[in-house]
Amino acid sequence: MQRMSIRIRLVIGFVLISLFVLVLFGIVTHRTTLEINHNYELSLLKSFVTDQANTLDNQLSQGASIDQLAQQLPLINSSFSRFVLLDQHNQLIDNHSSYDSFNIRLSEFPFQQLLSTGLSGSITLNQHYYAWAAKPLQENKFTLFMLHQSEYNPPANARALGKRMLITALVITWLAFWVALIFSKRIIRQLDEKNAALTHKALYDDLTSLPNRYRLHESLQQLNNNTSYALLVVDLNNLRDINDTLGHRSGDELLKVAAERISQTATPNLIVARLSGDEFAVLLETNTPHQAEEIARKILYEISKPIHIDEMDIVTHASIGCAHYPHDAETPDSLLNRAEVSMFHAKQTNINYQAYNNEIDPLNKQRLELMSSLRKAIDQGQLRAYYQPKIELATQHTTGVEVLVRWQHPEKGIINPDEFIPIAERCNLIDKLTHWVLDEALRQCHMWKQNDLDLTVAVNLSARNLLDANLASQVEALLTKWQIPAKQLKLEVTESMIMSDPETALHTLNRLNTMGVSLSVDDYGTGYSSLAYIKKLPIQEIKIDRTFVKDMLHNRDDSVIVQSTIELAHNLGLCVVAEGVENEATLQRLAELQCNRAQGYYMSRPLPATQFEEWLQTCKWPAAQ
Amino acid sequence: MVKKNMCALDRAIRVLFSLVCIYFGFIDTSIINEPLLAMIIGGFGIFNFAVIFIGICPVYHLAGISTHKEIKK
Repeated sequence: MQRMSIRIRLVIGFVLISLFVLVLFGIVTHRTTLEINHNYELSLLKSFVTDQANTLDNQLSQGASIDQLAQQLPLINSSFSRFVLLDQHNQLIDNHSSYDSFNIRLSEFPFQQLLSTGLSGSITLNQHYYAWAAKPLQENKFTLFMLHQSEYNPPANARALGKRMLITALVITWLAFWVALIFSKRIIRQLDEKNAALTHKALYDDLTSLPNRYRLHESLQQLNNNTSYALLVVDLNNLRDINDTLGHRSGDELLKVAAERISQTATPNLIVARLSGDEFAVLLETNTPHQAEEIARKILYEISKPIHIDEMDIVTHASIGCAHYPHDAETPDSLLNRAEVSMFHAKQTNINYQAYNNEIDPLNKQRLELMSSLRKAIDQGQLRAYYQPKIELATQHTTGVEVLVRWQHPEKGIINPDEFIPIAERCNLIDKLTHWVLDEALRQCHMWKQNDLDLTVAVNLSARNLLDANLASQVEALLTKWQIPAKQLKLEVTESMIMSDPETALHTLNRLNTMGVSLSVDDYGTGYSSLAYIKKLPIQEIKIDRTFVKDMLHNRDDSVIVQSTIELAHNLGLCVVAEGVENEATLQRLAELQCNRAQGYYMSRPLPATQFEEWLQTCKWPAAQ
Repeated sequence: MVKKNMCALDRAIRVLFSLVCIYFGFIDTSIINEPLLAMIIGGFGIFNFAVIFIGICPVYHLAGISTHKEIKK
């Protein structure tokens, strides 16, 4: 439609310009022609009058009277011209009445007026065009005046000229019309080509020729509500390494091959797009929930095949996140977002494929709700401290507790720390939360102390706490507040927390250690750090993760890990706590291995303070006196 | 092979137009009264007859226009 209107405008423009040029040309030509004809006629007239005047002058000089000459004048008149003689006052010397027959009355002719303008000119009288010329005789005593009814008829000439001009105009306009049609076609074609190129550039990736994020966005807007779709986000894991080591040309080559493999493997797909550097997206129409995973696995397999670049075989891996529409996301926008969240989760947890679920999304709706109510929860006392006993295996006494926090939500009931700690970390509530737990744990410790119950309390720290420069002074203030000796407080940290910012973490740990607070490494064995490294930290205890302890009686590997960890830790002068003890046999085995302490459901789940006190009365592991 | 691009009505109009051109260009030149113009108009009439005969208008072809039903969009 728009193309057509451009074309029509071009054609009309061309034709109008050609018409304008012709009209201009016509007018100028017409006027010039008139002027040339007129001047030519006047010059003829003037020379004729001069000739006649010379003859009359001669006759007057030879003694002829003016009246005789006036009578001769009709002899030289023609049907179109009249000669008259005027006296020195420019009055007609009326010598012949027939002069009046020449369409006008000569007696009324404005000789005086015409001669005041010069000796030749033209005049239109009674719709007739006349040219005139005059010549003085006998030194201005008389004037010979010639009036000529022009053969040259301006309107008639203009008509003839106009006709030719009109025909020429038609021919040229017609040619202009042709030219406009042909040129407009070419202009439109070039515009279309440019537009197509620009559109392609805007919606497609230059390197891989795949659609880009905008094009994918367009496709996502057209999803049908009655159909199921899956969006896979594929991320290549080591593109940056390849760019850094082999150069960007190799990286680009890798991307091209990966793009090709993804396009060929993910069939039938609706669209394969390149989102950014090393991120691709595949939109699928799915009939079964597992279809997306099957295709994702195929893509992973294809991508993991070596890629031959610059005579080298490069192996790359991918992480794929997947979100289903409309199951996981109600809008196309959130579909892409959630597929990306899943991909990031897969990347972080070092797995290949992750389908979307609420748990992995840091910003899902429930979490956002929790975030807003957590702040209130701390102030309104909705948090509860739970206590899980730690048993000294050598003496079979309960010597300490680990303090665990629970959230007694007014509507949702008990919420586990796994769910709200990450939120607290995200919205800067973790300091407040840790402070609350420390305060509560030390208050309880103080209460027990008054009842002659001496237990160490262990509180878990978050990674964010270790980066807080005020932590040590806060702990010190609380210990003073509740009059608890520092050695009775134990702080548990995980390996990964220390690794994220070792320098700051070490600074905080050293301060706590100097105060006399004992430090423990939680979940030992799940990270990558060696005992040798951990030994450099100011810690006194490691806790073997429940995953090893749980199956240590049946799984030889786990058994060996537990045994060797205990031996090595002891050799390094560290205490060992086994977490996740679920039966008596495990407890006995740990005792045989000379593990220092044990903790687990076999002894007790985490309990509120009053229930814990009851448990302590009835259990096999009484508190040491 | 260039496709035909003129429909029957188009051709019929052109036949009339060509006849008028040839009449004023060669037969009664007194109306135009200018040999060069008359020759151009007459020549255009003859050229147009040839166009009608082969059914392909070169201007239509170059301008991407067609009044022929089969390829008319």
